[in-house]
Amino acid sequence: MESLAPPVVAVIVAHDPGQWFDEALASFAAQDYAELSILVLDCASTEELTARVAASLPTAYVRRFEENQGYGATSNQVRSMVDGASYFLFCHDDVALFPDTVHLLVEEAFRSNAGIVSPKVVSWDDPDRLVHVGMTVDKGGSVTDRVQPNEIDHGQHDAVRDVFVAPGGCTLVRADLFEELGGFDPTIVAMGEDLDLCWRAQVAGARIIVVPDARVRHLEELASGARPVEASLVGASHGRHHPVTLQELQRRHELHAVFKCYGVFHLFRVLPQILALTLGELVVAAVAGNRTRVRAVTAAWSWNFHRMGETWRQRRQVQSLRRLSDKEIRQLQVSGSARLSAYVRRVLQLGFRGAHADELAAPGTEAEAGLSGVLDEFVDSDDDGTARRRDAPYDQEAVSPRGRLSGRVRLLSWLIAAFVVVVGSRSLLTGSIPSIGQFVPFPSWSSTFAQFGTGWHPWGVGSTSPGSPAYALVGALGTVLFGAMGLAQKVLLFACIPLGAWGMVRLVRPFRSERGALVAGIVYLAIPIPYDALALGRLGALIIYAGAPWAFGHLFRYTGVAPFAPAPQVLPPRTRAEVADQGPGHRRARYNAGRPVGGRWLARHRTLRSLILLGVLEAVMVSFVPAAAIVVVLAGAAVAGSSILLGQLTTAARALWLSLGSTLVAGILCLPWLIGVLAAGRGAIAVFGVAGPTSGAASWGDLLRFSVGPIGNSPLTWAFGLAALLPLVLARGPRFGWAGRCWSIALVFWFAAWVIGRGWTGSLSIDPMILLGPAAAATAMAIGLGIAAFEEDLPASTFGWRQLATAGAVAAMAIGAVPTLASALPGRWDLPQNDFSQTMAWMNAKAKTGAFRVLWVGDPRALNQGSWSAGDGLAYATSEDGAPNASWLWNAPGPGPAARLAGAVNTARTGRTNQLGSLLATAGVRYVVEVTALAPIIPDVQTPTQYPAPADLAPALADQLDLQSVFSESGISVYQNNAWIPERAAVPSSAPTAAAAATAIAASASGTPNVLGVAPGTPIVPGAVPVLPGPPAASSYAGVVPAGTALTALAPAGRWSLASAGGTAFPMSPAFGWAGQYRVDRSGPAVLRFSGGPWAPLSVAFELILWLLVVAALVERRGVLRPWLRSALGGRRRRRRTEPRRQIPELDLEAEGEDFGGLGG
Amino acid sequence: MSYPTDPSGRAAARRRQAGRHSQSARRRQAGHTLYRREANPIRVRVAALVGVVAAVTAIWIVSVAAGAPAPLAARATTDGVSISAADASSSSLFCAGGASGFGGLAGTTIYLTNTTTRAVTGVMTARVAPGTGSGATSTGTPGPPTVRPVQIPPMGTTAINPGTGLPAGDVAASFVFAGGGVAANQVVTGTGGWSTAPCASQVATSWYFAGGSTSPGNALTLDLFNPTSTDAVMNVSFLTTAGVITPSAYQGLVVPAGHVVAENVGDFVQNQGEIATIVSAQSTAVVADELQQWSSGSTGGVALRLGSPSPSTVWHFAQTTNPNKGTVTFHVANPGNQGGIATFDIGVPSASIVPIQVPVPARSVVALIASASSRLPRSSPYAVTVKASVGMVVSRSAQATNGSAPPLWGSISGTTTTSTHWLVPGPGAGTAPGTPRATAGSLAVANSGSSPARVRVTTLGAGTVVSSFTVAPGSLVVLGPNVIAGLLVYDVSASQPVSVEEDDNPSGAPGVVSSSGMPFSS
Repeated sequence: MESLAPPVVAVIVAHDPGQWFDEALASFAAQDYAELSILVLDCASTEELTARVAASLPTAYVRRFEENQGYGATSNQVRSMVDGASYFLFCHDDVALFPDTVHLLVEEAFRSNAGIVSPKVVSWDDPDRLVHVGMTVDKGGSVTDRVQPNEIDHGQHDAVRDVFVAPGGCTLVRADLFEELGGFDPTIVAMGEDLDLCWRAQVAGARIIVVPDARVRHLEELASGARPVEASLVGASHGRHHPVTLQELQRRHELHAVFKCYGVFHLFRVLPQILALTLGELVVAAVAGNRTRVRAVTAAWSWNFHRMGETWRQRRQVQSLRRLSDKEIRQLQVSGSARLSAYVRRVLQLGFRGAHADELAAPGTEAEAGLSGVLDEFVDSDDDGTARRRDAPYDQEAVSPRGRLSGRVRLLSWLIAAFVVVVGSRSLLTGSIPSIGQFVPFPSWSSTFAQFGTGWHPWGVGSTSPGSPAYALVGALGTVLFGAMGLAQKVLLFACIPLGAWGMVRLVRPFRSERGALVAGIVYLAIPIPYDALALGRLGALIIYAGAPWAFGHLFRYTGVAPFAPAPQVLPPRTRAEVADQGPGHRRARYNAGRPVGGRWLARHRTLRSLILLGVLEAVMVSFVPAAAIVVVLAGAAVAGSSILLGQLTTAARALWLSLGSTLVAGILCLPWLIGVLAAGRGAIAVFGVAGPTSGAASWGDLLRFSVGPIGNSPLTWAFGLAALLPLVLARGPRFGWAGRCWSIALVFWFAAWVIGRGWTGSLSIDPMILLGPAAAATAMAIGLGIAAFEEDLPASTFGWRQLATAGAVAAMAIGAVPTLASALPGRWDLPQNDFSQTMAWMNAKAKTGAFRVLWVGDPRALNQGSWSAGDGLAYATSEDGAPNASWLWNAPGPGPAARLAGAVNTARTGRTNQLGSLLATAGVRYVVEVTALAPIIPDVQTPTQYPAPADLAPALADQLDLQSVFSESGISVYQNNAWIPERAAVPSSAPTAAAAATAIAASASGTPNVLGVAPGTPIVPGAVPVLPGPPAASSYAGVVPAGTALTALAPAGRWSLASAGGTAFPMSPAFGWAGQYRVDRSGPAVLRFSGGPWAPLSVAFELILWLLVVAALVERRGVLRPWLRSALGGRRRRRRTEPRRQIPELDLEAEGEDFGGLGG
Repeated sequence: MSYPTDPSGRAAARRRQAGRHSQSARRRQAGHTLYRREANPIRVRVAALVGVVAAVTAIWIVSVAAGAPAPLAARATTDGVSISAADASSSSLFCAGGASGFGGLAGTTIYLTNTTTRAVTGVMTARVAPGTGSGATSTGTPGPPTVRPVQIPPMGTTAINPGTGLPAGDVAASFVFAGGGVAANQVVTGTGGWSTAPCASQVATSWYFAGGSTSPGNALTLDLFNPTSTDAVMNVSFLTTAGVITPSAYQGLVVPAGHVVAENVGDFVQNQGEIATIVSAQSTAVVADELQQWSSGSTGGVALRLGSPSPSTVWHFAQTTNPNKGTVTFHVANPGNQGGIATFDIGVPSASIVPIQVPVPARSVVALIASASSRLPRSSPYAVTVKASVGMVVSRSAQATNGSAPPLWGSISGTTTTSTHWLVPGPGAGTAPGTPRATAGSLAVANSGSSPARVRVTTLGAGTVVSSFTVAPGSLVVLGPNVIAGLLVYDVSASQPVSVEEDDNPSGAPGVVSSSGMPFSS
């Protein structure tokens, strides 16, 4: 009887199949479908398959190819080889069909008029476990299974339904559709060919269904990674340092499908979303140290960009088939991002690390830490330099069962904490940051680097002191953010808070209590110090808040005291045994092969490495906050002192040694700047801070409860101190010892803040908020230790006062956090909305009439720039042409000639002159601004913190005959100097006042203008006109200068030169004791230029090289540079380095240790 | 030593011990503890707790004992007059309210006293007030200022007539010196009287006067001098017994830079016996003086007074004498919006007098006729310290009976300042008395403090110690004409802050012509 069933050709694509192949062939032989023909395509298998096929399928056709072109390209051969088939059943060689599979597939294909039909795919070994029941996809082409991994088949998916993707392995495709589509995309060698084919089929209007009644078993040799993708297929052999992973193949082919299959409108609508998600994924992966994923994502984009031409050609073909609009096709896609959803689910289930663990531990991948690894260096440096797993104390396995906390609880806790911080900062995050305190806008990206690199700075009346490395660091941050310096400022400010909390968690983790670490981190977030720093514009305090826990981590680890002590034996015995069995010279990973000398050398010198690690961290902090050096030394001294009390002299010595040594390293890293600081002589101590009036100093009680600002100014914050007593009551062993050290640290910093606040340290002045940051870290750690002690030490006790004390401490923590929580509601942490720069915006327009300086006087905490002390708690600073920006933030410790400005102000304060304006005029000071508050005081709008100036200042300024009050409101008074002369001025020889001007200049040679015969308030140099216009803080100015005398109030005068357009330098002579005057013999264009000599570029280059070397060494410890170095150094060097080491058994252990250096382990 | 007698007790102890061991073993087995348990002896735990608490407490005790850091001292208030430091880079003095032969007034003489041991050079810029405007009192035109160099010998006094070379009118002069240590006072003589007043050493945005009068026969002139380089815009109002008078012409009154404006207060405030003047600047700062001309028949008096830059809660009059037949009146003005009480503390040697309290409503001026009070001594000097509950301005006028030697009337502003170092200029220089036969009559030193003040009076220049004495708290010492005399300049130094006042002759009664000292700024 002639069969009416449509002919089906089963196309089995095989390549070096394993033993399962026979079983697979047998399943085809057992099919109950009469019109089934079998075609086996042998993709250059090592051993010919004909015999094996013939043994099971005598009637099957076998076609052998001498080259493996991949699954898709090989399958496409049926287009030319087979004629008359109605359906093709494309199968992998590791698929076994149930006897009725083909029958059911064809039947449903007819019934549903489907173009592509997929069976239910179950596990090869356990048919009750589902592998695929069709797949779906999101708008970005990310394929998602409809079933969960290892989901048991209860028939829950047994309904025929439309799906977006028929998973590869076994797919029934209508032959005419396959021909119309042009077969599989030959460029897809593996992973993703099913998505591509099905998407194109959807575009062509074909229906794709899954038929769960038809079942196949699939071994998934390729997808599971058991069978590697041939290198020749993916081009991995050329120019690549890493193997092509399945993930990379999947990602690039998904993206490839997106480029091909979407219409123009949807493509440009979806592509930015994909790009944004990709960037986010890269950031998260980088933070997690998941370099495999980073590589996969970047390589996927790179692969597609390199084939854009070909893709576009394929795209045209696909679009020519379009019968369905993207809008209709999108209905079959899942909404949102399937990848993001899956990731969030994984994080919720497994935690952040767990979500990446598979990829980090995947065979053939390098468990390297990327960005987080570099950051981790600052906490997790090896203590023995050999085999310790880098984060062994933090590992899940190292946490005691009692100390464990589910990832969901941790994530939820941190999400709540982050929510509070974000809500509390929402106005600042979404709006602009006002110029409050040190929160001044950064100059442009290029100016920031110029500020670091040039030899002249606008501080005071000009300075040649080297610029702080902070300028370079800010510039680097701006570079990362594509020059968005406003964003850079926000990142710098707001990254400090999570960074500090992160550091605190890492600090407490070694105590094996996740709950303790969590509590410590959250308490550190709840202590009001960072928010007070935000409210008061204290960038320095934020930096210290962020860096203190990390610095403590280094210090504590180096002491060698448990649990920070290096673990002598951390490798699991089984692994070590395996290593031993494999004999000397065995190398588990490729790490030794390319490991650079620098990294190895650092790894072997634990002390030096610790010094460098803490030194780098300290150098970064010192760049922004010079007082960080004192913070580290004080912390070391506190640890040393407490260790001495505990009888641990070695520990004390180590703590002192590391703190002092790292400070020395930091000093070397900042050497040019440090030399500039030291050059200030006795005034160098001012680099740590400028003393404010002692009358406003915080009391001892205020310091103990961290109440130094508007946030947390509540008695409730006493609760933190009380909670921190818990470990002293409960803890045992190392927890008790470290609790004592924490208290020592806190007491030392509280005491230092108190003593300095009272002015008992002479010129040494440090913002108490800076000193309270480490105290807060120590307090939070002590509280975390209390929780750890509750978990570890209390179970041995019967219920009693200890449990009650713990409950009380927990309640105290909650109570202590209330003020911070309450302060979060307004959304800006009390940071004023309006700043003085807005109030003073009118001043910028005045620059049209000549460059000028503004002299700012007041409490140093109220000023927007780095300042110098004028005594009695009064500080002074300058800016040019209006309010300052960050160019004036990190100034030289010594004022140089600008000290004359302070002298003049004090002369006025003591009633020794009533013509202060004349004294200031020589510096081009046009305005004198007295600041008595952090920001303008606007009733019902903002009530910023007030910082009263010395009481004699305002009357003294009001008494001056040549100062005119031009603007005054609560918090600020602006006086115009009527005796002002422009910062760059000229007196034409043709002017009628030329003679008088010459006399005035001569009479002012000492710097004190002769005011006799001059009406109060008239310019001290009559007839001076502005010349040489230019922006503030520039190092060269050009313009037309009339013949006569040119005056430049730029110090040091000897380093500036005025030359004509032809290059002729005009002779310079001193004026006003420090400024310059040039005799210009003829009118014409001229250029005033600073010539710094070779010192500035040399010092900058020296500093840059030092930083690059250290950073490279640190990064290289993570193996980040290894591939680059390997290719740069070449194979010969690699051999030379690797071969001798094979004979050194202990190096294997080190390699093992490096394996453990990865996060995934 | 005792042993357990109950075997079951030992068994129970063993069970407990065994239980602990097994519990511990279970914990070790379960891997609950990585570290070896170290039982912290209770004494260590207590020591740690006590150490922390002790450290916190100790520092707290020290902080309480040390007290809160003292706030920075406010700058001592001045009455607009002080002698700048000798090492000052520059100093200025401003003299206004005088006249250059105008309105029955003789030319004003300014006496510049150099308190340093070096010659001081300077420049005087003098100008007369314009004669235009409804309130103008001058007939002259402002014209260009005269600028003259001045030089003052060390420890010497130089007399200058600022009106020389200027048209008749109210004249004002500013002095700029290359250095400090110079004091200036001016003497004005007019119909029936003469007066001396210090020159201002500062400009201010507000000035206050108490005790003016525009009653018939009296003329009150307000001189506003702007020595700065920017125009000043002034508002002037008056407190009278009839209420507050705010003439519209005096609101937004412009005083050009470097100019002086003289206004006849009587044009707008007529027939008021008690006038307090309030001058405030909308912009810039000025110096304000008032010239009160008082007449009584064929004779009368004149009073030149420098205003006070601010109200104060304390005012000092070092010596006041109630004459047998004359009248002494204190004028108290309250420019604020809150009423207050002025308490007159009377200081006399070897006695205690109950203070006199005078309510002063807000924005009003009241007069206390001291000579009518039975509590106060007669013909015997006493010191007055006025303590006000709110900021007030206090002046004192003295009137002699008709028939006395002219002048018959005079007025002086109190001082808000006490100092340990005063300069008391004479009523003229050696060859240039402020008025014919001018001479110092008495010098009083009053101590309003709570501890005795050792005082030494020397003559400037010669350095001769005139007198050295101790002033009891709340008392005064008056050096009579047998101790001081002539036109000498006296230097008064004291161990405690004191106030000083010199009474000059000729006058119809004590207090008619008197002057406060000038405090050294450092």
